[in-house]
Amino acid sequence: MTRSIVFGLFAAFIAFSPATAQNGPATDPVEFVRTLGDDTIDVMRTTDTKVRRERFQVVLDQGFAVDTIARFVIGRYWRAANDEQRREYMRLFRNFVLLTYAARLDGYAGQTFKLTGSVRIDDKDTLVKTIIRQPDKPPIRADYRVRKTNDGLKIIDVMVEGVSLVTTQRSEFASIINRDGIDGLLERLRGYGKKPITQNN
Amino acid sequence: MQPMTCDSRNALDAERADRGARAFVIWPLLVGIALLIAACATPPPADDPDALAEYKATNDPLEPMNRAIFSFNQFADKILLKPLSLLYRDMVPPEARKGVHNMLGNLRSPVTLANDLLQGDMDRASITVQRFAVNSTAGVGGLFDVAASYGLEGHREDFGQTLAIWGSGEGVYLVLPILGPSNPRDGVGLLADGFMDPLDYVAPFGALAARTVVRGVDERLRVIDTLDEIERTSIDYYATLRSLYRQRRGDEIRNGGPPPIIPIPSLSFEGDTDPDQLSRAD
Repeated sequence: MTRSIVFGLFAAFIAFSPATAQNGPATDPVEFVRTLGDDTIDVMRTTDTKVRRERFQVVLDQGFAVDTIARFVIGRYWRAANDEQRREYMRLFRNFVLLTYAARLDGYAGQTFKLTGSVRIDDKDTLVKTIIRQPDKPPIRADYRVRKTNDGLKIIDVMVEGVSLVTTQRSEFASIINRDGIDGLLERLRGYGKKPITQNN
Repeated sequence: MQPMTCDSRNALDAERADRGARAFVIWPLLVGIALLIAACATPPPADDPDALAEYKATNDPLEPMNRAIFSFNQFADKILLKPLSLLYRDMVPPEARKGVHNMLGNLRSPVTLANDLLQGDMDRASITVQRFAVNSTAGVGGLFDVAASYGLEGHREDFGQTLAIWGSGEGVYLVLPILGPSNPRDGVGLLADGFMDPLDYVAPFGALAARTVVRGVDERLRVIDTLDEIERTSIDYYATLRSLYRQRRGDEIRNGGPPPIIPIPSLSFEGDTDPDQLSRAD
């Protein structure tokens, strides 16, 4: 009798121990965003630019489903693209994201974030809500859409003050492709890769 | 966001002063409409449902004209509004700018209150009234946002949002000269807000004009870093702002409530299958 109670408690303890204690990747979307947010602030605090950008690449790959985002953002035009264009697009998009956000993370200015709750969207997706506070500026609402993937939890969209990054990006890319075709988009993405590095250092 | 009221009032005065000028108003207007029609974007052929759906979602049939006005606005911003905002930032200490911003917000209370009420949102209407009472007195005529420290956070409502709550669609995307991204619903809202503002009836024209300028400069400065950043990271700034404007307005109309969830298919490596044929994001 006593043995079975002890065993039961032991089993319950294992079942309810937090995901992080298992030494594997987080399975709770809220914890996942918390860890990612802490890591990001840590990256921002890194003083060496080169090291900071390398560390950011790691955070990006760990935290974001970049390929899924890339694929969503180009939308229906994917079908019209040939293999070579697809490959180049995937490569350029990754670079585009890196350059866009790396510059944004240069210089830590006292930002903190607070988790304010989460909403389950469906059996795969959860919206994790946060508020980012920054000195002398109004706080920003940022909601992270986290998906269960074969590769663990990944962010597939960020909604800042109700504005979805992937929706905006998709709309922008569609506008360019409509005017200048897929090659026009690739051209601009190539050009973008050259622009901000000189501008922001 | 007052200039529209001032402009229309000026137009009325001018018309009264010189009826003969009508011919000079109507004629350019007709030419303008003709140009407008000529400047319409060509819709995609009906046999391409995907393209047609996208055209409808983008809802920007006047894109060529909008892009032209957008370029003009960027020019005006570059030579006037932005330098003025930067000057304001460099000349006026942050505390004073904050006071000015609070004051402008307090002066807007009647318009926000009217729209709170028109939307039937009694809770927010009550907050607006309390804020106005506290800030106008303890906050020294609105200079200090004392109410916020009592947990009465400020918010903003306008008639464009009220129309949306009443069920009005937004209509086609419009870029207004100087005022920027808009649509027929929000344009009408802007005009209506002018009529709801008691100050517009009692304050002298000079004071209203000054408020318009200060408000423009204050609002421009508040978004200066954000807009610079968006422009720098955009490869089609016009299209980015078009999407941002729609989504921001949606968020304001929902008062920050849950956003619409768009279907985002997980990437499959199965080549040509296109799981997101049906997903639409503007």
